[in-house]
Amino acid sequence: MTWTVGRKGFACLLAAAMLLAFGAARAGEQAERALAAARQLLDSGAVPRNASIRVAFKSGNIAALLGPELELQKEWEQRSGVMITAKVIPQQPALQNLKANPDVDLTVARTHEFPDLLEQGLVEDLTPMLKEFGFRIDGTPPQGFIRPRLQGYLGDKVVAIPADGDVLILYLRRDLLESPAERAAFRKAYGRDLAIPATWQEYDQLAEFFHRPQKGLYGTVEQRERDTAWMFWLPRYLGQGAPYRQLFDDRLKPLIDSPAGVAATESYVRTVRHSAPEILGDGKDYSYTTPIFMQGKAFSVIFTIAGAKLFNSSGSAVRGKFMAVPLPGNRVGGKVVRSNVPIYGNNLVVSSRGAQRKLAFLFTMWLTDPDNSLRTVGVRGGFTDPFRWNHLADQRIRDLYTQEALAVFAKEWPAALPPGTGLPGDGDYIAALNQNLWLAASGKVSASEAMRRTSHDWEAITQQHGRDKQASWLKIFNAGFAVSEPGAVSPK
Amino acid sequence: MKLPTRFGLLPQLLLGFVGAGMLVAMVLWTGNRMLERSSERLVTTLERHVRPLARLHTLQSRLGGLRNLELELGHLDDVFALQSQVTRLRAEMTTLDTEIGKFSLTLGQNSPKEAQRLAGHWRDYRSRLEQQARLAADMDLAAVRAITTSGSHLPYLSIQALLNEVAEQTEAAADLAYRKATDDQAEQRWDFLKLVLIGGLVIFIGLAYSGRTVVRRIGILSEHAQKLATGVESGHIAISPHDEIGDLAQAFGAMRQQVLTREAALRSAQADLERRVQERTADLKSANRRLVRFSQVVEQNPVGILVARIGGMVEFVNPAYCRITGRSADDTIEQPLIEVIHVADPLDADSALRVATAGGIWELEQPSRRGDQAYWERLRLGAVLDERGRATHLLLSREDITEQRVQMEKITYQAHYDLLTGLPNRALANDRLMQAVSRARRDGGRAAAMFIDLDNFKEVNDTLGHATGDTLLRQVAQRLTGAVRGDDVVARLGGDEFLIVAGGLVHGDEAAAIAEKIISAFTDVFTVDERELNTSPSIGIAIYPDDGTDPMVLLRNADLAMYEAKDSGRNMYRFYNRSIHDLSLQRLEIGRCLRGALERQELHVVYHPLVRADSGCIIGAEALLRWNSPELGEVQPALFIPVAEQNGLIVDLGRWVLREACATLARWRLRQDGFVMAVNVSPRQFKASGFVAMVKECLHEFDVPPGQLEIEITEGLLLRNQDEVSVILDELHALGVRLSMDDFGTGYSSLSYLREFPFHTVKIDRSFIRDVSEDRSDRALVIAAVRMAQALGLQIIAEGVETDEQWSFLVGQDCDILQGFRFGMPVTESNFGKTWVNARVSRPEGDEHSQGVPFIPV
Repeated sequence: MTWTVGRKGFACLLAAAMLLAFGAARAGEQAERALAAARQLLDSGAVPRNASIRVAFKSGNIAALLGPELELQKEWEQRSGVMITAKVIPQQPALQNLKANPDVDLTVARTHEFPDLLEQGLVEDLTPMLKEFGFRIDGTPPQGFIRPRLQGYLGDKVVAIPADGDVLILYLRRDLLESPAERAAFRKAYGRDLAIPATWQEYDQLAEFFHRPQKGLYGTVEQRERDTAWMFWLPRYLGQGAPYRQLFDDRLKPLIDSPAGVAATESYVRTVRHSAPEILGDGKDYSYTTPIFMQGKAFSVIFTIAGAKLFNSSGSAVRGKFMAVPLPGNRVGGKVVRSNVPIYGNNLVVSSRGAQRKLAFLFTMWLTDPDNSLRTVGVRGGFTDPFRWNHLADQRIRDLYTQEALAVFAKEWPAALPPGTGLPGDGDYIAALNQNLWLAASGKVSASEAMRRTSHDWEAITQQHGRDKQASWLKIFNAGFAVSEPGAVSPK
Repeated sequence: MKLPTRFGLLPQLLLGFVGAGMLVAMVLWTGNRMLERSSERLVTTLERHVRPLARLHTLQSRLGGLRNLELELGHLDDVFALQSQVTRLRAEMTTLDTEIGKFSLTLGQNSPKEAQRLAGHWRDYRSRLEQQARLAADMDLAAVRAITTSGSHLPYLSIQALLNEVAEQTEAAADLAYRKATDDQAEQRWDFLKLVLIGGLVIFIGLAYSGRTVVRRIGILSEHAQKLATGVESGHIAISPHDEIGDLAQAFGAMRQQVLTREAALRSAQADLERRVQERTADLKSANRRLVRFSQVVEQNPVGILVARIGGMVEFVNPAYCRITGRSADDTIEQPLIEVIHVADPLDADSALRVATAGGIWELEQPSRRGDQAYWERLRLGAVLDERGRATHLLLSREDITEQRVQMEKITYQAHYDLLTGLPNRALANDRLMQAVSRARRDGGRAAAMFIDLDNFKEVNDTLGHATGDTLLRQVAQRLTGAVRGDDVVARLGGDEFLIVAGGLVHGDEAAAIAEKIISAFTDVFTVDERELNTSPSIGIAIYPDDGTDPMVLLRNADLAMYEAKDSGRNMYRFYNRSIHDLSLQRLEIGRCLRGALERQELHVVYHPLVRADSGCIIGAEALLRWNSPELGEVQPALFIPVAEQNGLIVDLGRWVLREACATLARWRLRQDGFVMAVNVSPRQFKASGFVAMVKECLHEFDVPPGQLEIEITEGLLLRNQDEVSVILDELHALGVRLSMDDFGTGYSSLSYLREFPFHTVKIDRSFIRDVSEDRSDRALVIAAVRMAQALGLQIIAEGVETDEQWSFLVGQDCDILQGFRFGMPVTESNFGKTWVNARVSRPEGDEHSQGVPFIPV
């Protein structure tokens, strides 16, 4: 299976999305409803006149969620009469941020953090407020959210309003891939044409082929630091085919201590030797890897759609020389099975301890309106990437990210699976996995040992939380993703 | 005399205003020019010195912002934040490049050296920033921080120091220029003030002169006007007439004359008006008091009052109206009257409005409802007339007359129904009888009046009490009602008397069938308080038109027929006929003639001998009353004694008989020792007050031994008021008088009476003696009576002995005394004295005891 999306394909995709637009909310309507509801709350005395919404965002979110020069904040305050008090919080899990800031009404959380936040009662179940204020988390193009069930739901409960879209994309150096000399050399070395990798094995071969550190070129700078290890391992594991589309069976027995888990780990470990020397260092995340690729010192990197924005910027050495392609997969039964996961994602959650939860929800409703949200995506100093279908058709955003990258981005969503475990204690489960993956990548344990240790750790965590309880959470988690979503284009 | 030249006020004023205006305009123009020049100098000074300062300040601020961006750049660890920061840094650099370029040009005009220094430092600082931006793009943050610390710091400080130096110089120059400008402005302001003062002084002098002239003349006019106002006489107005004020003075003089004339007329009119106002006010107060009083009367009136416009809506209802109807004022006011009048028949409502609108009074009493509560109301609708007699409104009064209706119905019921039995009473019975007669007359049919009297009811009432009697009457009423036809009327006339009105008869015989059903209904005993009681009806029937056409006549005739039934043995019915009527008339005639008969000596006493059975000796006599009326001839005791008993004459007659008998006894006892005189005493006489005393008095008066006087009473006397009778009998017994029970066997024949009361003698009724030879039952009764009396130690007298067989039988039964025609008829005192005193009757043939006087017929 090959993922090649050109201008024509992208246009067809958008056209299909437009056809499915029937029933979707009109642009601006969602924002006006939110403003009217906020004013009504003030007028009725349900909230005091001097009420303000306390938001806590990471520094990179401020510009994205409150607008460049805080223009979105100003507009909201002028039109609704509700003030916003913003606070900058450090780059750490939402669980810690919410515990440290009990007076906050609104903050951001990653998808895989939802079970812990909900189980500990730190965030509000937004389902009743959606109903009360007539806000539909609609997944229908051309205006709807992109795969909202992946980023906003836990089971049937709406936990967050998506405000970012972060599936993984493979970035390659187009100039090298299309170089006749390189193509000839590759054919000679591997006996096949140099092409976009369809499988992780082919990806490894390309990394190996282009890994020339003495010439200042690494085969790949895919992240291998400890804290984000799961993000790059999970697509490899989930692409092993059934039953390894899940991490646990129904009774919480880990499925990773298996040939599929070991193969995924081995694939994960294999890139280290074709990468930069400090790639395993703590804190060597995308701020380490993406500049290397941007400076033209690497053949490939895997990152979110934000990479395209970065690589296409004016100071980038690879501007016009890179290409975005779908993630590779695994060959299972003669077919290539691919999967993707949303890894970061800034989803807006309402703190259950906040004083102005309804106003915070209404601000979120206003902010994620199809029109208003256009002003948050790809802004200067912001982290927010497209999360609604209409963002993909906006010319400013297309110029910023490149049309080609956005087409791949759109096509990767149907292959996306839920990130994380979906269980309370997700942070612990992920930390155990990260640690053992890092040990394996460091060569301190074998891939099979890493999976065995992880499986053992996971059993202990499950035991600690209670197997029956965890099983019921897993059932809710899985049931939520059994629901089909409109607007997603089936992968071919 | 030459008049002064006329110069009017208007020209004077115009001249003054023009002069003053020109002066003010000149002062203002001059002042304005001075202030404009001063202001222009101040603005020029500010522009020259303050604007560069402001631009300098902006430049310093932007430079500080750029330095902050630079400092932040080295501390950002996120690639996206770094990119954004570099973008902002470059944008600020570009902006500042332009700003510093412009500022240097301006600065170069006065301080070319400083301008050259500024450009040089800025180039140096900018090159360092460019270097940092490149390093940041490569994520070489350490190098960025190194430049920030050592490379760019000095150029930045140099720029800031130069800008501060320029700012200080500019500020000092600006301060000096500003002070000079403000000093010039103050001088100009003082010059302007002096000019204003001079102008003002000139205008003041002009106005003061003109004003003084006008004010003085107006003051003269004002003085005269005040005098006119206060009624003080004033003289000539000394104002020269060369302008409008002079004209005004002349006109004022003329006006003053007219005012004085009219004032006198007005004072007179005012006095008259005040008097009329006072009178009108008094009238209004009086009318208002009446209105308030009438309003209170209406509001507090217990009668509901509603007022509506004719042909329009309801305007007013009082509280009583709402209370009576149960409908609020809001539900009634502004509703059409036809919709709130609420009468059962809509035609009545139309009629009511028609009658009332035409000036009539419409009234209606009707049942109504107030929610769940039913009530009676009286409605009265009439027109309200205005002062001209026109009907403008309708007045509907509504009165709750439920209580009146209830009382009226109660009274009506009590007037027509017997409260004890619930049957129609005499009045309603008479009415029903009249209706039945009218119907029969109209239909050519017949109607019956059936008069019923209960047999023995009085005894029940007397012996068992009124409560038992009342219960019995209620049961009788039920049986009567059940026995008659559906349309027949059963009524209670009083006591134990009932009347049945049966209409729609074809033949009189149909009444007989009804009577038989009634008698049959009494067959079963009545049970009152678990006691079985017997009573029977005696029914008298009168038929319309055979026995009378007048209802009262029919009732009377039925009553007579009832007596006939009673006399015929009770528990039967009798139709009225002529003989009953005649008998009734006869009884009336007897009563009439009996009154005064004693005084007229029409009465006399006869004596019937009492014969000892075994010896035939006369032992005494029974005194019997006889009446020989001049009008009626010899009247049988059976006819006149009941009449006397009924009308009370029996008391006097009885007393007379007793006295006659005692007087006779007194004479005869002297001739025959132990002679006994028996005297009948009627129940009414027996219970009359002083009876015992009278007996005692007779005994004493005629010196008669009590044991030779025998008082005969009937069993019936013992049935009523036993206690009272017992007391009298005991008193008589105490006197020593002999007591005899008469007519034994015809009544209750109660053995207990004989045992309980102090009787000496029992007299067996003649009806048993008459057939004693043939009738075994009579014979058995006589034998039983004799045995019983003997057992009780009583003497036996057999009445009605007419034959020797009877005598022999009675002797055989050891009967003591005999009385009857076998021994002779009752005779007068003289005849008895001659024949029977100390005489003896011969015994029948064959009787071994037979001896003495033979039978002597009277």
